[in-house]
This record gives sequence, structure tokens and C-alpha cells, in this order.
Amino acid sequence: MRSLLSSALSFVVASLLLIAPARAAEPTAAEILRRYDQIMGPVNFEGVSQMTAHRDDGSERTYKMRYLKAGQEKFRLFFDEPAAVRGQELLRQGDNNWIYMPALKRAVRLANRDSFQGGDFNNADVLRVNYEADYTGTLLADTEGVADSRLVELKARTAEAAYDRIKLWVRRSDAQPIQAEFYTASGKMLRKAEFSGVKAFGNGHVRPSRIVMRNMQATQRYSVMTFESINTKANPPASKFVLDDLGR
Amino acid sequence: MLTQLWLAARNVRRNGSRTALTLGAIGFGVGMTFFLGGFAQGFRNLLIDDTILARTGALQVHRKGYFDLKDNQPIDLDFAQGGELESRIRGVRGVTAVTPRLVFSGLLNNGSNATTVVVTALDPATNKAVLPNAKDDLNGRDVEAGPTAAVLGADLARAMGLLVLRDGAAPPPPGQKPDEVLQPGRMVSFQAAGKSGRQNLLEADVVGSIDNGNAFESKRVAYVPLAFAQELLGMPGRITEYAVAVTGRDAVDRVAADLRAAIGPEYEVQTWAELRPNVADVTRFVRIVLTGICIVFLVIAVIGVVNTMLMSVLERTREIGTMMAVGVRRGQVLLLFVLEAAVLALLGGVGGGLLGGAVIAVIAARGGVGANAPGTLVVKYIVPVVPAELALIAPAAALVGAVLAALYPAWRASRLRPVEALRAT
Repeated sequence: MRSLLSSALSFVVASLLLIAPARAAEPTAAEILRRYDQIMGPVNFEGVSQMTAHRDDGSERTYKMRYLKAGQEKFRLFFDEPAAVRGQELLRQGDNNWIYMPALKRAVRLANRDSFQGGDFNNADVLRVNYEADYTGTLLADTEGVADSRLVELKARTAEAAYDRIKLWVRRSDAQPIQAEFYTASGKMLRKAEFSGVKAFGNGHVRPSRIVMRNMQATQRYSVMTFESINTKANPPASKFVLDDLGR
Repeated sequence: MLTQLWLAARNVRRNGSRTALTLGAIGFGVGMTFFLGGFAQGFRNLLIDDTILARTGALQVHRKGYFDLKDNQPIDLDFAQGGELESRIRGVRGVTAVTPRLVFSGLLNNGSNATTVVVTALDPATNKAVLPNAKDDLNGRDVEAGPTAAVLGADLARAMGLLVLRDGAAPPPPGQKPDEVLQPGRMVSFQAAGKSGRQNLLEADVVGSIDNGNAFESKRVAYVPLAFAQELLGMPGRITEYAVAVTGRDAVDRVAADLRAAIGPEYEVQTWAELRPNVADVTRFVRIVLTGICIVFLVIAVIGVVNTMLMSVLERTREIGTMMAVGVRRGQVLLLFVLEAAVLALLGGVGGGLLGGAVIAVIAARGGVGANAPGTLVVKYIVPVVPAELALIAPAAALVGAVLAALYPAWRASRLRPVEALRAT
């Protein structure tokens, strides 16, 4: 009896083991998107990062920032470098952006996100992710020459989707993103992002530490973002994302 | 009283040179007031017309709450084009033309560079009726040139490498208009997010540049056809404002009030003064300064009257003594001198006013005085015109001033003792 049971058990386990890898070998487009959201945009986290913005005139500026994120709509940046912006903070509540100026001790609503810091951050749109909710993915057979990858084409399905179409390449082995292209409804590629330097950030969080974001319509503009530390266990309270908290 | 007046008039004629001098002083004071006031009004009219006929239109209609957020160019405060709102606007007495517009902010890309830009999308068919002077500062063609035609601020066009010096032309000395051409066949693209954040991009043809002297605007404004913007933003048939033309400068406030009543609480109406408070400030400032200057002129003229009257009293001491001896009352003597001053002021005021008015009329008939709009090389013409209130107030002020000024000398005259006065030389 016991041997029957144990062989039945082994049989079940064996078949599961056989089936599971087969399933893992071919994720669906939706699963890839979900995985991407987990990797690139954990729901709550705090971290430290650095961004070097290369501008139209050839000059560059390197920002060092700390940030907090809670949910998809609340985001806060604290600037530490360069000295010109030290103490400034950026708060995003949904579509509203506010800058806190330490010299004025006041927060000013940002009229146009693209004009913040001379447009240095306008490429950072590609970091705002909620792909599973906003896009429908289709796995494409041809990965267009990118080795060892899967290519998913995302089509916008909600009004909130920032781009009409996105092409996302992820690694076959662990679904870490490799590169992405962002298109408008008129078919123009607006942005391109390249991901590299995959590493573990603690708490089981593994993701690319370096992203190069290019503005394909103004090719002199690109930014390189490096993440130095990410803490996904952090749970910033809602009080950190209100105007009154800026500057404290 | 009439006898006094006639006597006063006769007395005034008696001393020709002194009368002439006094008339000259008052005439000059009032004349200068007319002259300067006319130019101030002309300047003010120029600024207002520029705003009303080339920039904002006399009035603008938006969704309620838009004005407070206008620096953000909120496209989610949009409304449907045409329909009942537009017919209600047209139905208000005093409204002569209406044109729909869409204002949004986005990025202008030229392939290698990008910059933020505030875009006003116009309806070429109706825009001319509301803003007939909008093309005055245009170099090149207008947005009606085609469905993807765009006009950029001159500094913006230069920064994007689209406006360059003509081949072989030297850079101009400061203050001179550069000999520039638009590079033909260069496409730019406008990139913007629709109401919910969806990014889109459309290519456009830059056909013209506009240089209106406002350096801040010149770096960051662009104009495109309305349909182009509606396609870019995914907002077919939607707009963010109506620009409205009215019958004349002075009708603006009244029509604004009627319009507010006609369109209801969901929408708001702003006048050009609210949309361009700096222009309103400048016109107010000019008026204040001019009023001050005119007061100074009149005071000087009136002081001349005081002087003349005192002299007159001194010289006519014996005459006054005679008058009093014959039975003329002190009060009547006082009145006599005051009336003399009044006659002088009236004649001088009217004369000076007519002279000043004539000079103004001649200048106006010749098209006014040309001046460079500050910061540009565009020449605008100041056509002086004497405002009605000034034409009445200035001579009246001269009259009142002269009468007050004459009170002291006249009082001195009336206090003379007949016996001593008769004995004076």
C-alpha cells in the first residue's frame, strides 16, 4: 500500500516536473508583461539612483537622486547632486507634477513635464510602467536579430497608455528586459531604451541596473540611468506624497 | 453781472502786452496738455489695438477654471467646437467675429534637437476676421498654406536652425533687421500627449516665422492649423478657447458682461486686459504719467495768471480807488478781477486747445508718428487723438485754476482803502 502510494506520488511529482519546465520554457505575452512590471516597477520601493543627461548642445549633467514610490501614481524624488539642484524635490501625484524649491521653501506646479531641468527628464517616461494593465501583448516569432531573446509587441488598450505601441525584448532565460522601442499612433519611434547590468538588489529583487534612454526624434538627447540601491521592502506611507511633506 | 463781464472783457483788452503774455501762458499750458494727451492716447490705442487685433482678440471664452490654469495649457478643459455655444456667442450684440482655437504644450523636434513649445492651433478661415493684424509681424506664409503648415516664433526658428542669414549676407549690426530666410523643405515634428497622456507625433512644414518683439514668446510659441492639433492630440472637434472680436475698443467691457450672461456659468470670459495685464498696466501707467505732466503745465500756466493779476492790481491802484470812490462795492471789485482772470483763461484755454488740437489733427492726417516697437525692428504708427474728456477737462481746469489763482490778487484789490489808493501813482 505504502509503496503504491509513494510510487503514485513519485509519478505525480515526476509528471509535474516534466510539465513545469515545459510551461516555463514558453511564457505567454501576458506573463512576460507581468514579469516586466514586477522587475521594473515594484509597487512600493525606495532607492538611490544616478542619471546622466546628454543634451542637445552636447553638454551633460549628472543627477544623483533618492526616490520613493508607492503604487502607480505616487512618486517622489530627492535631488542630492549636482549642487545646483541639491535640496530640490519632485513630487508626482498621478498626472500632476510639483517641484519643491528649497530656496523658496515652496512647491511650484510643473506646467510641462518636458521642461523640467531643461528637458533632461523627458526621456524618463519610459520608466513609468504598468504594462499589464495598459497594454495587450503579442509574442512575435522573429526577434529581429537580438540574440537569445523573446520579442513582445504591446498595443495600447487603455487611454492611459503613454505610447500607442511598444516593442519589448526580454531575455529568454529570466525575462529580464534587454531593450524596448516606443512608437506613436502615426508609426514614429519616439524613444528607445536599452537595459543592461542585471544584478540582485536584495530581497530577491533582480533587475537591470543600467538603462540608456534615447529620444529618437531628437537624437542628440539621451540619458543614462543607473540604479545604485533598491529596497522593495520599504513601504513609504501616503503622508510622504503630499505637498506639505515636501522639504521636510 | 453781465456789466461786470463786459467791463472785465474791456479791461483785458486795455493792456495788450500783458494780456497777450497771459493768454500765451495759458494757451501754452492747455495746448501742451492737448498735444501730450493726444500722443498718450494714440500710444495707448496702438497698444490696445495691437493686443485686440493681433494677439488675443478683444475677448476670449474658455471653460470655467481654465484661466487660473492657463500657464499649464490644460487640454482637459476642452469643449466642443461649434454648436450652441458658438451661436450664443455670435448672438451677443457687439460681437463681430468668433474664431475657435486649441492651445497646448508639447515638444518641437527637428531630428536632432527638441525644445518645449506652446502651440496655438488656429482656424485659418475665421482667424483673420478676429485678428486681422496677426500677420503684420509674419515673415513668410501663414498656417493657411497647408494642412501641416506651421509658423514658429523667430527665436525658436533660429534656435532650430530653420531661420538663417541669406547666403552672403553679413550679420546685421544691433538694432537692424537681419536678412534671413527660412530653410525650405525642412520638416519638424510636434510631439504632445493627448488628454490621458498618450504621446503622439506629427510632422509639420515650417512656412513662416513671427517676430512681434516679445522675446519671451519668440522663443517658445508656434502656430499650426486647428485640424492638425486635433489630430495630434486625438481630440477631433474639440477646442480650448474662442477668440472674439467686438465693434470697438470702448465696447469691450460692455460686451464682456453681456457675453458672460449669454453663455452661462460653465464658461468664463476674459477681456484683453485680463489676458495681457502687462499691457493694461502700461496703458494705465502712461495715463498717470501724462496726467501728472499736464497738471504741471497747467499749474505753471496758472501761476502766470497770479503774477499777471498781481501786477495788474498794482498798476491800477488809482483806478480801483476811483472805482471805490464812485461807489463800486468791494465785492464787485473782487468779482471784476476774478472775471478778468476767467476771461483770460477761457480765451487762452480755448485758443490753446484749438491750436494743440490742430497740430494733432495735422499729424494724425499724415498717418501719425512711426516708432519701433521695443525690441524689434517692426515700425508701428502712433496716431494721436485727443480724448474727449481731456478736451473738456483741460480748459475747464485752466479756468478753475485761473479763477482760484486770481482770488488773492482780487481780494488784495478789494481791500484797498480808496483814500490811499487815489493818492497812489
